[in-house]
Amino acid sequence: MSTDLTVTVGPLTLKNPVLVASGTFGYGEEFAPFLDLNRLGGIVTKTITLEPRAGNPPPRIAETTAGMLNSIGLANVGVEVFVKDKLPYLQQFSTAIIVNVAGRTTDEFAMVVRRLEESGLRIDAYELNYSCPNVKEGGMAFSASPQVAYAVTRDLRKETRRPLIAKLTPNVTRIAEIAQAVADAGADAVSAINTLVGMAVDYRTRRPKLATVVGGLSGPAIKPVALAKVWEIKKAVNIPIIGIGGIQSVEDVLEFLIVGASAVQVGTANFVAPDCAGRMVQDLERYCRQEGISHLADLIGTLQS
Amino acid sequence: MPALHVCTIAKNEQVSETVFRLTLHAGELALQSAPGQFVNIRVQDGPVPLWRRPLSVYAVDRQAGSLRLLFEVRGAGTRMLAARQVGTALDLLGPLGSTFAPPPPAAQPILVAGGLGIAPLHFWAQELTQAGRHPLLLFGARTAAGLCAMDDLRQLPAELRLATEDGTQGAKGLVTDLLEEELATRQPEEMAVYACGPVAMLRAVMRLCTSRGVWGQICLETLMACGFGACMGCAVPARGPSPQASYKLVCKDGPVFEMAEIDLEH
Repeated sequence: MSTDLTVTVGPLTLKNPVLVASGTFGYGEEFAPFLDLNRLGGIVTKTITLEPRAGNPPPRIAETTAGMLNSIGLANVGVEVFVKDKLPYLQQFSTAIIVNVAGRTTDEFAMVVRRLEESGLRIDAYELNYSCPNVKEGGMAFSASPQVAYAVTRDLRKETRRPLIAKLTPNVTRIAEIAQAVADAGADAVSAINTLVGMAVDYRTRRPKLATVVGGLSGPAIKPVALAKVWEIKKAVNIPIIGIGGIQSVEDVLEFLIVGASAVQVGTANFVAPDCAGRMVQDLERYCRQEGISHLADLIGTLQS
Repeated sequence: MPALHVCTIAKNEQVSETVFRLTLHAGELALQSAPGQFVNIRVQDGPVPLWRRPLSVYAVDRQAGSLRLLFEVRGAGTRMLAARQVGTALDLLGPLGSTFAPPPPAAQPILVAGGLGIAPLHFWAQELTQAGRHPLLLFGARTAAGLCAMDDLRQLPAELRLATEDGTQGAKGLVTDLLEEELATRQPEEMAVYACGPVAMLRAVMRLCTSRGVWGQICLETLMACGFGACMGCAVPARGPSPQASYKLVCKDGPVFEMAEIDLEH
């Protein structure tokens, strides 16, 4: 029996639901030695900003129990170099190219999108980074209030007809309110969750383990939080969700789909097992065959509660 | 090209109170690894500890296809690795990072190691002597116990000078004192310095070499989540003309850098 792993995220059709998360997969090229990028449902690039960013001073990362903290500070080559040197490489792969973008202001956000639109290169969707906890300006502020999230999404909606995916922070009281706001403003999907604000301390030196003191927590430790946030959005808002948070195995992928995510992004696990997203696709195929599931999409949102 | 390799443990010896020497059946990985490069080891399958542990290649035996690593037990991950038995299969990512550049033909390679910094420099000393060069190896630690793997070092056909801070072995003082003496004996272009060790030692080595106009490279160690340029966690300040901060990645741009590339002063 043939198995269909195809899923749709609003207007976007993906050959399977396994994407790789922004900031954990470089510009794609870094992972070519470890897996066939054609296997993936999609690649979400590192966040691209208008100007190149050097990123935050070290130390930028700390290992925590079943997770890690990062404060990279959106280090990236900037949109010009991205269009010239990085995006062309991704064109050859039969996988969705989702460019993650950010700006300090709505104008800057719009300028990045405009420059990418002008490139003439294939871009299958934009993911809007409303939720980086590690930059002083903008960053998380865009998805901390529903009014601001609505306004910036509405302005960006005017810049492109390509699908817009708003990436949401969990560091708010009610994530569903933000999801509703971006849905109202014309976003096609949300991705949830970005990292949780966290902190680690070295008791011997009495210093924080990150130069920025606090950073973003990711990895298996946050999976239960991520599932709860996806569930909260699913119950309250009619918008496709891409689930993110601590996914390490095919079982984790299935859990997110069942809770209501239409697709998932694998993040921190890529650092430790750079071939893992490709293996998850294989494992999904095997699981569907074993269980007699002909359309994986039928599993989405089937939580028995 | 880095790849994932499954390697079985041939030997896991304790060489001092806290230091272990791991010998692996590594096949291709042993053939591909060059001095300065490192491997990133998964010490367990579960999520604690989450990251791999990056370790410099300490030696390779290309005929036997074996690869050796030297590591210190510093936390949960290295403790797990120390407990791994002969025959256990380990998941290794490598070879990763940059390699030492050969010294100019007229220069004597001077290798400066502090503590565990001996690991990549042992491999480099092996390769240099095989290439017919005559390295001088300066090795320092706090105490004699920190001068690990002396059995291997004594077998190298290289001149070896030791220093300990407490004077329990070799000269009493810092390994950089040995370097300072050595640098005063010859013209700058007759020497090429390669250093690996604690940041304070590297800073002192870089100051000495810069003031004497001696070319050199350093090999850095940092925390890293991936080891191949994706996480961007292992940034170190770069030295450049621009007043704006810029960084290099230890895993990808390094771990071996020209001294002129890196700013360890800030």
